[in-house]
Amino acid sequence: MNKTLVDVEHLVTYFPIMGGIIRKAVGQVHAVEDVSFSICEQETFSLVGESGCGKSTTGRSILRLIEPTSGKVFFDGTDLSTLSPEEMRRKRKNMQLIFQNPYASLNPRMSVRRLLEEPLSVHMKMSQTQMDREVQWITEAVGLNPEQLDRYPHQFSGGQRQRIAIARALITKPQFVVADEPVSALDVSIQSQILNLLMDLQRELRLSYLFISHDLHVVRRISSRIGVMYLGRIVETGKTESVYSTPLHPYTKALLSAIPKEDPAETKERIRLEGDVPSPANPPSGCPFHNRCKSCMPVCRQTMPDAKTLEDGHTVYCHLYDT
Amino acid sequence: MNHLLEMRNLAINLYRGKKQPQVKLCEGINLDIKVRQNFGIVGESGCGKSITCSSIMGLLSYPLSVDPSTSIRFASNDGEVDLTRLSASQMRRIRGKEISMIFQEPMTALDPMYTIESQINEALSFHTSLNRQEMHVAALAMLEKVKIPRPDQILSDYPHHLSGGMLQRVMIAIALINNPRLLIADEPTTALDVTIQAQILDLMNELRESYNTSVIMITHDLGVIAETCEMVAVFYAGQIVEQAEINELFHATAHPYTKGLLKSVTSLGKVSEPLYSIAGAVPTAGAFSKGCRFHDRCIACTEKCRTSMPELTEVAPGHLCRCWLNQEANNA
Repeated sequence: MNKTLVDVEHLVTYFPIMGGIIRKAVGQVHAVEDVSFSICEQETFSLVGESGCGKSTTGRSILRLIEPTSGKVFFDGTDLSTLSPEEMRRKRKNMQLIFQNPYASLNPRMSVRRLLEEPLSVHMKMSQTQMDREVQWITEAVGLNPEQLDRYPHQFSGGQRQRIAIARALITKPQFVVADEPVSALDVSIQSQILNLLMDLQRELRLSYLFISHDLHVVRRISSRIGVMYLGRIVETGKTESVYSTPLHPYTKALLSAIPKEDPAETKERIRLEGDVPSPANPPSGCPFHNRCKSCMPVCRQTMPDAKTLEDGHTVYCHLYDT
Repeated sequence: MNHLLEMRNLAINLYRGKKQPQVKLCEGINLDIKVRQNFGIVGESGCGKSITCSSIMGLLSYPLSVDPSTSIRFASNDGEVDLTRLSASQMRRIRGKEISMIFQEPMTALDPMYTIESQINEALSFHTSLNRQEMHVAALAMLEKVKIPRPDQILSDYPHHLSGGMLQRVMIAIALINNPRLLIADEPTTALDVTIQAQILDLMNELRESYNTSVIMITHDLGVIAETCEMVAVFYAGQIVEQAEINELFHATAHPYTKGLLKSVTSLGKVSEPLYSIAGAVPTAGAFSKGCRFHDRCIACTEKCRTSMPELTEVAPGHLCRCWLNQEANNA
């Protein structure tokens, strides 16, 4: 087992809801509620869940792009919450973010060369020749044509733009990358190109990924461990294969059975979830999933289940596994 | 006419100003939709699947237009009509009554300024002569059919009160309230989460049975196709490259593009290195080569593919494919 690189402990992020005439806080959106996990070096940990379950907020809270309400994040042994903004800024050289939508994340008025040089000029003191060399290296690494460096983002297709965004995130040679839905804006045939690229770069540059996605197929391919989120909480976490082959939490079971079948001849028994995800501004008492759960018991309405770890680090938060 | 809809030789032109020649975004598309059939159209973004369906609804506007050579014959309640030859007011009488449409993003397709009830009533008051009370009853019954809880309360709500899945149910209610013969669903579940997507697909399958409606399902997700459709047409760069009955398409795939698509989806589920991918990107409209439009990404490309365009030919009964490989295999 590799050394732990990122350790998230009891991370909580609330957003205030402003209301009334003087715009004071009238409530809170419980976006991330007591999330803990750790990521080892050169490992991919994925957060998977439906929209609004707090997976992106978790990713951003770790990088302190959103200030977490409480909880601690350790990066390579340093507690990030104690760092001053200036120290944090220097730390970000080692931790980068790839955004979901390559159509919105690249400045349309900057050429590719300038987009790639920008992180270098922020984080490193480099001469122009050194910068040129770095830009040259990363362009090749992500499979862009060096002749296209003086073009602008609008001249590229979605897949190419995502390559530029990846190059921009990796040019400072970070150890840890948060990839927030990096392929969901792309077409299927392009998705696999980008996923292959991310996996190749991980091997080459010894990266650790926090991979955020709602696509269960993609997550299965890329990650070694996953955490399933529901309404701000991790409800199940474990090795990817054990979560996919023996899902324990009723929500994970329903989520996996909702994937459309790959073959029309396949017959598949569905677990149907009724209703919608409750609002995170007013989360239900007890287990967050109890009002949609088929095996809900009285205890589920009252108390939040504790973590139960079964074999091989497969952890579930559900009263069904109380002993 | 033994089909509900017969589209012949659809071509859609993009006007680019007086000095530039028009670009054809779609070409030579023939579709036959049978009564009560669930027809799937699958393809990547920009392959022309949405504009094909907008042309059926007569929703294309400047700078797009349907080429005069096209005919779209539709078996309406008043007999057979050619949708491309109808006047605007004749088209309005068909749109929303005999052909209706569900859009991709229910959050933006509904008007935020009106209640759910008045948006359902809009479809009713235009096409029927019901009074206010009767419309209320009809709207209520329709919301129950699409399984919306507390329908009487939801009727007086505004779109921002509802979640995406609920809004998509409202959209389906509006589309089906006049009992249309053809329903066009343009990526109806793309904006929704998987668990909600499964609910909506189930609902659509159920309603199709009870309403005897034909459905054209546009999507980029082969899983959704496998879940719902009987016939499938695969679009690539403004053309149909393969069309077959669903099991045939998945098990006797003929076109290299469809093979690649299927492979890149199914290889996602399996842990085999590396992930299968189709190299390159979709060519842009107006810059198509005169050969096969897929040739530069195709693994089996030959000299002939570069220079001349293959025709859509039958490779097995009811199975059409646009590829030189299959045509040569058949001739030999």
